Amino acid sequence: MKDDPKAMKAAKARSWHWNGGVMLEQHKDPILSQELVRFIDPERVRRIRDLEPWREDEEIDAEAIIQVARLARIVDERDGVPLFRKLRKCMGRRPSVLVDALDEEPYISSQLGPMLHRNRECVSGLKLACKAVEASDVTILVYQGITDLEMRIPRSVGGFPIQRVRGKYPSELLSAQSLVEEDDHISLYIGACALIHLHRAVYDARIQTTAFITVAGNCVSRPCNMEVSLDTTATDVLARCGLEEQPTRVVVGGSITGESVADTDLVLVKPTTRAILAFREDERDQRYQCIGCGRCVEACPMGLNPMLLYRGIGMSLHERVAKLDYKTCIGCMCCSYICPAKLDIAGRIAWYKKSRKEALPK
Amino acid sequence: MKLFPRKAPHIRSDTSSKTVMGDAIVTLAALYFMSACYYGQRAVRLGLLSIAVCWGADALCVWLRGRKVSLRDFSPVVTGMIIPLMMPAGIPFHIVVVADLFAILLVKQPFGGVGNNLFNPAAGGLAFAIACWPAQMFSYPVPNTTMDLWGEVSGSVSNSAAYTLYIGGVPMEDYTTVLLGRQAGPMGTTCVLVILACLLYLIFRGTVRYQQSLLLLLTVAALSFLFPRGSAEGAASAFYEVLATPVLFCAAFMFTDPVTSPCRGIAKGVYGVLGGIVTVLFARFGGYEQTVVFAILLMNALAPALDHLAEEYITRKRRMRYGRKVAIDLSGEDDFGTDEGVPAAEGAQNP
Repeated sequence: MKDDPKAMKAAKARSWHWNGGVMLEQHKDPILSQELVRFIDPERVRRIRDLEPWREDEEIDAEAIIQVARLARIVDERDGVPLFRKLRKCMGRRPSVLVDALDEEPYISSQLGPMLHRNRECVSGLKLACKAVEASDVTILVYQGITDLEMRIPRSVGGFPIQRVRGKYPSELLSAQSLVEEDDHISLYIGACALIHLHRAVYDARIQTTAFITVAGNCVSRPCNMEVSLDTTATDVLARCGLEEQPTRVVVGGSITGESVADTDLVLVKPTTRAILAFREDERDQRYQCIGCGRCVEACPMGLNPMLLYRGIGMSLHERVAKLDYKTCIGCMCCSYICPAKLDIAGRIAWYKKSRKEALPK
Repeated sequence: MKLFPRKAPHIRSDTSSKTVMGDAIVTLAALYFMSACYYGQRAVRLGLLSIAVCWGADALCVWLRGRKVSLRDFSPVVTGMIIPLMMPAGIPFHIVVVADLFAILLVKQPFGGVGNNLFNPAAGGLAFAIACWPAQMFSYPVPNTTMDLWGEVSGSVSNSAAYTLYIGGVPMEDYTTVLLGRQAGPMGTTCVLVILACLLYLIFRGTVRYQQSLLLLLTVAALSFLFPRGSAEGAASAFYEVLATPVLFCAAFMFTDPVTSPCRGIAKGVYGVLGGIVTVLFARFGGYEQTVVFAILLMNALAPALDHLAEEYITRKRRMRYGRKVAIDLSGEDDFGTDEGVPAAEGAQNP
């Protein structure tokens, strides 16, 4: 095996990785160190019909856990996939379970916060999930680049090791798929909040009617991590935390990849909502001409050449753009973030991807 | 609340083209300060005139192309600052003006202006000036002599260390004199310690990538050490070739121009090494004592090819790396069902 050139080549390829990505100031404190705020409408809290919750010292089998996850309507916040479906796909395949508490985008700590402040529920949910899929090993993933914290992130929670991954953004998006097979081994990613909901479903028969979100931004008077009822409007959430001034942009999702909204009354909190951010900033056009500095090339975590893609798409050089592997772009926006000319590189690549998908025959 | 939707990302890095150019301007200003110390106000006047000519010519071309003249584009200012620093302090003003106009009107703007030029404008302008007025370009006033502020300079003129090396001799200046910049030479390129500080500043700010400039300097040093061109041998040859000639200045300010150099890290490294080899070859077989600008122009022409090769190599590696992970499809027909549960009993607020 050792002398097999094919295997050696494959091993070399595996060990090789990009050093791309960008260092970001995290702005996670004081939100992360504070206790979670509850903004729950008691009338919306629901329980599973005709289900007697288990006691914590009681044995429960794998199929029952998956069934309860289904009845409790738990959706994994990292990908929007029902938790029961993820567990069922892995049943008996002994996957590595990776708990996503990364929160690598600045301002957001809506997975890490609940994981630390509700660690008992999270660990209990994790044990249930591990039992359901017969996990071979478990790791809790936390972003390494968080340095501005008052509190200390422990090395393990409830006996499960916490691994600090990559100091550069993106690391969560690099593993955007939640179930990955590599060299006959399966890795299953589960969001930390989904595990809390799993614990509540099994031991309290509670249906998921809340989501954990971060409310922050330079306009918010009392930024916090919040457990909020689903379908609450962004207007209500922002009113709960108070606005110091009228924002120019309200973002749902991450501060880098999130979506800027046109009307906060129409935006409802969903199980996958991770944050509501309100910013006020100078909105003048700050664009410059590209000087070919190559910062975007260095920053791209997939090793693409965003500069050539941007120019190629601008000149409709379809063949050249295809050669540059534009489809590999994961939309992390590192190139747009870092670009000193403030060009919308990632936006143009995303638009091109979408338009080609529609234009090309399947 | 009604808002205007904006494009992601919603936060941006603090670095902008303005700050990138600003870094270059700040470091070049330090060299003007040193030049003013050695050659008086004339150095500053040369700089101001050059900036005005470059900016004016650039603005004129932008206006002729029907574009809006941007006051935030500092690239002509950087070009204008570099050109006089590579010239003797006693250079006639009309030569500076012609070099500036050549740089902007023939090297930069015909290719589409900032970001599109194939060759470094300052290197182009200087090469033109060297070809047209070699006598004036290589007659250096002795430092600390008072010079006429506007007219012709008639003070004592000396040869530079680059000339001594060119004719196969050993420069008379000792190491301290070279490091402090008290020898004759182009007015901005002799203050070695200040240029080194500027280069470090630019590298730590991320404005300049270390691969290019350091590999260029190391290659020149290594080749000069192994194959000295005159009587100076070994370490002395490497020291004088790198620090007593304008190579250091060019490695910091012209060779690292982002527009005309490759963008991939690996290509930058190769560019640096090749640049070093070409610089040494030009120094040995070139027709002038100062040929580094010609080496830069030749390397500029090779940059797109290096980028192309690097892209091919990286693409192959990337496909090997990312073709192996297989995502398992998580879509499915099975759903939660229709039962939405029952309202929770009292005490539901407490988890």
